[in-house]
Amino acid sequence: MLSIDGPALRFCDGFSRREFLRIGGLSTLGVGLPHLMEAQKAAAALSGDNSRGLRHFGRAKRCIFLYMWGGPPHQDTFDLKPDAPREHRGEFRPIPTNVQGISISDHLPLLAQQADKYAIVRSLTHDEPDHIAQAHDVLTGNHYIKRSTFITARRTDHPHYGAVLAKLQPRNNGLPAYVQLPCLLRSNSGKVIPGQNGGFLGQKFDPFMVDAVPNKEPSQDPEFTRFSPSNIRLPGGLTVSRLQMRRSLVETIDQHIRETDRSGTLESYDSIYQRAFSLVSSPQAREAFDLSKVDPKVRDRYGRHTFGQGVLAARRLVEAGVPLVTVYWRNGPPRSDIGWDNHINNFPDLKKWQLPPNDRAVSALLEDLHQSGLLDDTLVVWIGEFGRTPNINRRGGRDHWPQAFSALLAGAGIRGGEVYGATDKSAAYVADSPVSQIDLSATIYHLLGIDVETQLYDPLDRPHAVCKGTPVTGLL
Amino acid sequence: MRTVRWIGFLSLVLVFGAGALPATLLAEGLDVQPSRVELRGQRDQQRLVVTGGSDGSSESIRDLTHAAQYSSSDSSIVEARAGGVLLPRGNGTAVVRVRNADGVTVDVPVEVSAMDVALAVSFRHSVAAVLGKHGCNSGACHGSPKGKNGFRLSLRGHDPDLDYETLTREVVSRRTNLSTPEDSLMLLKATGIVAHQGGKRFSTDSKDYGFLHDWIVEGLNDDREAAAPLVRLEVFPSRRALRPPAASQQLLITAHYADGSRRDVTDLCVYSVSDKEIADVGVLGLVERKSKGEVAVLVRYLDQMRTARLTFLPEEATDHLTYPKPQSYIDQLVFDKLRLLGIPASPRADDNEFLRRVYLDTISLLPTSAQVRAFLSDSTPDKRARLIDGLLERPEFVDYWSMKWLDVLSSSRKNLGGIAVHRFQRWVHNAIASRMPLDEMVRQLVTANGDVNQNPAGNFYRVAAEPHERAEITAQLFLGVRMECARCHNHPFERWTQDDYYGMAAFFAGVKIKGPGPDAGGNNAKVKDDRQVVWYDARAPKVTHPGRGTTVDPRAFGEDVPEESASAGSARVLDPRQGLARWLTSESNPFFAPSVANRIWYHLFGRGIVDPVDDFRDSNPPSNDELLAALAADLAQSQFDLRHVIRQILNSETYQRTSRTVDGNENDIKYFSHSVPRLLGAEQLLDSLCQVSGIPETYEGFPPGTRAVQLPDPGVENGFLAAFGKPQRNIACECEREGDGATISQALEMVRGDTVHAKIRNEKNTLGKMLERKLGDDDVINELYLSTVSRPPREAEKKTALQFVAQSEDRRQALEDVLWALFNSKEFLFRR
Repeated sequence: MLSIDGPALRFCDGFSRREFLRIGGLSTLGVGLPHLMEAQKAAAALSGDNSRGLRHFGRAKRCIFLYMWGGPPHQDTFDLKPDAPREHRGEFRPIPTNVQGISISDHLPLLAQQADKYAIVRSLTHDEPDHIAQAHDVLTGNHYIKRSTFITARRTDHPHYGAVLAKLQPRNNGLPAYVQLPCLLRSNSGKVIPGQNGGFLGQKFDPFMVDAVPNKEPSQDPEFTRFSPSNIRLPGGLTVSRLQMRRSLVETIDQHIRETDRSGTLESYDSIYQRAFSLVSSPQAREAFDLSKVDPKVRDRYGRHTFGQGVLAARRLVEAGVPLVTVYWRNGPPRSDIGWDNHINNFPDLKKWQLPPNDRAVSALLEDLHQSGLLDDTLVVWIGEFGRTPNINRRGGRDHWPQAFSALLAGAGIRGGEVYGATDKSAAYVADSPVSQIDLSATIYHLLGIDVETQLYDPLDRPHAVCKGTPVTGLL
Repeated sequence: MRTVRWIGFLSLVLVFGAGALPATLLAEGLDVQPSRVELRGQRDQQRLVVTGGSDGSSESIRDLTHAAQYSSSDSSIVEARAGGVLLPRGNGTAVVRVRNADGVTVDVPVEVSAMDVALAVSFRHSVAAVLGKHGCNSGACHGSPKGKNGFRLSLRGHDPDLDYETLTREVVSRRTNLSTPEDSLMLLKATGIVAHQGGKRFSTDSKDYGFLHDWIVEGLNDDREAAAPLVRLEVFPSRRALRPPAASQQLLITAHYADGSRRDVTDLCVYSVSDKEIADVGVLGLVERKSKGEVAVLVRYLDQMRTARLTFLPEEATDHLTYPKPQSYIDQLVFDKLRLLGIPASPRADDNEFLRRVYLDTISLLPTSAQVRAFLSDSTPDKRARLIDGLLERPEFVDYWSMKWLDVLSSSRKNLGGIAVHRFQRWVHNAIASRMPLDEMVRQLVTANGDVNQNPAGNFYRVAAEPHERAEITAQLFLGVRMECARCHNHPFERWTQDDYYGMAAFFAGVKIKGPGPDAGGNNAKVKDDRQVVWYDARAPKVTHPGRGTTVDPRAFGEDVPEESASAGSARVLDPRQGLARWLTSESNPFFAPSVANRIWYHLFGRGIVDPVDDFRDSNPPSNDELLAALAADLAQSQFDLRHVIRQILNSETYQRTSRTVDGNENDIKYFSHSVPRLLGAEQLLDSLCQVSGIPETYEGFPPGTRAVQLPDPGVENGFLAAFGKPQRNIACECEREGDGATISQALEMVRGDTVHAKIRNEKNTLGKMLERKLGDDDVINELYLSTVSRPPREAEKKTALQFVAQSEDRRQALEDVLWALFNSKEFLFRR
């Protein structure tokens, strides 16, 4: 295979490609000619400390990505406009938070007490009103190229953050490279939403899937035992000790081939097999997934619903050493069939099904991460595809509105207690500091220690930049 | 070292005798290229490449360019520097004498002119080349679509007009500074005087700096009109084999321009090697050996590319290596190559290994225990050949090899609809069952017209809507060429241009589809009764070249393809696909037969002779040119008979090597010195589990007993197949079936998966039946080994298993454990 960086393109001063790309990252932080000295210093420090010219690069050692499938109404959650015209403002009222000058929805009282820990981005904006295409963009930081209106996950999609992380910063700690909770995300017609998996990096980079809830039907699992994923549970009649016995039988069969075959193909299988085996048999991995041993009070604090238990499971997994966990929004029973797509009954649904579980789970997460000190190098992201229309439609719903929406970011160098950007008086358009989806994604990659300009290669060996966005300096 | 060299030299003399050396063969095996030199103007230079022992054969050849001594007869006319670089110093003629270590000399006449004329630096020939050479316009730097730091060049300099504008005219630009040229940003940055994210590219005393600097000083001339277009590059040597101590080769690159002029551009080219394990190449074209093997060195100057093929022979003599008696041209050519590179071949696979391998490769099933026993006890010498003949007639052969085609033809319910997906499968199935020649099959696909219910070949066109996508698929599948890159820019590593790309797309401009059914994007996939018709609309708008904005006529890689002539008076529509199909499959097409032959080889060895199979290009050469050529010729001669080529390969000693490596071939993965184990395919593995356990898998909507290989649609819900990467048939590429390495979810499927578990636990499985027949432990264990790993258990294995079962409280459970262990053994999971 021919590789792009042939010797002729090596840099004569001995910078490797990777180092070069890190320098490349300088530009994206606006270090131009006026800051030459700084850039030179940063270049000099390249092999070691990145933080000098590139704030918080790689500060996030782990990430919990809370994906609000459906598109939450920004004006009813984190960007309330009490002075908007009646037909826009809705029935919720702002309440003060523990940070002076910041207020959020009165249905998020617990999160209001944690406002010092997160930043609210109120000026997100893009032009994709399609759930499925935008899901890809939110989950990968890359624009989906629509070939038709039939959108489903394909192996030509861009890879999820976790897949990029697994590719560029592999950790072999016996745990999955990244985990997805609580199930595979599908559209109402059953299409697999793009952006959830390894995309063009291949199946090897797909997430470790915890299939905790059925996709559409209400969960029949009140104790949430299924958060211990089925694919590491042993089937009936099989115990760890019996499995170990079986394994020793395999050893006797493999012995011969191991002695004679030195070509390496088989050896690489050994290491994968070893990892699978330890996932199934090692207490550490099994416990990380097992919520049944967690103090019931803690479980209550996160909320006894799919989302709450998912967020709790995510926290435990990143603590155990999983670098990234995505929790996809699923309503608890009996409304597990809908996301945040509030075309009808916006306010009753928010009040009953959507805001309380979020309030409880996310505030508990921030509190716990803060308590344990992990928030310092753990990134928490809360975001949906887009916002919702200023207008309330005849069915009491709000429709898709990508022109402006909000997201929460916390931890890993994100300054808490701040609001970034603003919308106009009806929360319809961005009035200040617009942030595009891909720039927000670039910020996430940056915090994860991935230079967005690093090139990834698809199966046809074509290079793709990790993300074409630019990190938002104002957030760091 | 010195002795070896002498022996080499002596042998040369011995072979040819005293006066037998051809006149061209220079003074006692010293060759200098070029043999005469003209230097024009102050900036010109000429490299000499000096070869010792050049008797035209190989053993003693050695590059002496950097070892030879150079002296000029008149250094006021030409200066001869170490390394063979000649620089003009004054008008006139002189002689440069090249001397090797043994005192043998060759004289090179040199003529220098135009030293008194001010020849401006050429933007087109020099400045553009310097930017390319230093990677300034590469995709990772200023050649990226957004440029870098506000400075954007066209990718790899494909648009010099634009680059000229960018460098000289962009408003805020201080890139070029006419009043103080040294302060031009492009010089300050590239030399690292001003911090440059791309690092320091060259120093102020370099020749490349000189080009840029002088070009600015001279007033930023654009020689758009004056610069003669580049016609071709000449690479010396274009092919060479070097035996140590020869360990390097200086290349000499000569550019030929449209006005007949020539120039040494060795120092201005971009170089890369196809295999960095074998050799490195420096920025000035010096290739240095790292280990034995073959490399292609890709040379690029402006918009032209050429390759040099270098073979670095092993240090040791290879005469002692012995190879099996060749069964056919395949073995002859494979073993020739192995001998050349000093790679030993592994021994022949024993009957068990061969039997299992050939079953899996032909019919995708394991031999049953009875078949294993029968084969092992057969003592006739031609039993392997007879087995192969028999397997090629099995209906399962057709199932399996149809699936391979359907994978890359992207046949899925999503793409084609519920009925068409079955019909298309049947069409391919029938083609293979009826021994339709493969060239005919391709012609039928490419020229397909009409209702896809009647002519399912038309489904070929339903997986992609746009002419350019159809061109990409056609090129990838039938020519082995990936053209995607050329959609937006000339291919960075190959000669495919945007013109080639859109010329190919133009063949499909008029291909239309009408009627209900899913469109090429997969919309309306729920329409069950699709009645789509493929037809050619000669009045359809032509394909437009995005760069030029002009329409493009159909051209196949620069060749005009004669259009089907409409017979007089008839209203028959001109359909350029007829011509395309003929061109594709014609004997003179250098791509078709090799790419098809290579694909067949790939399926049997797990690696193509060109690999990846759809990436034929000069810079990705075959690992064995002669083998690929012979295989392609054999395929063409057999009227493109799939079974003929498969039979040839399976009967070869090459195919029948064991996977066990021997000293010296452990690292070989591309010359076929041994079999390389690979994980069974998703369908193959699941079918094998079903076959061994006797518990078939059920697939929704298919009759019981359907094997995974027979499924027409990849969308069928099956966690096991998904985990093992059954291709979803989204792209026309074998790479969609990921071969390289297992995943953790695959290992989990084997360790604790429900599929494996259920087949082992099922009371009515093979195990249950054996227990019902009251077979003893000994027999059961024998049977399990034979049916899973296609061999009887070894003594130690049997003892362990028997002991294990005897000690267990639950006999059935213990035997289940043994079966599980066999399923999880590498001998089962891998095709060796």
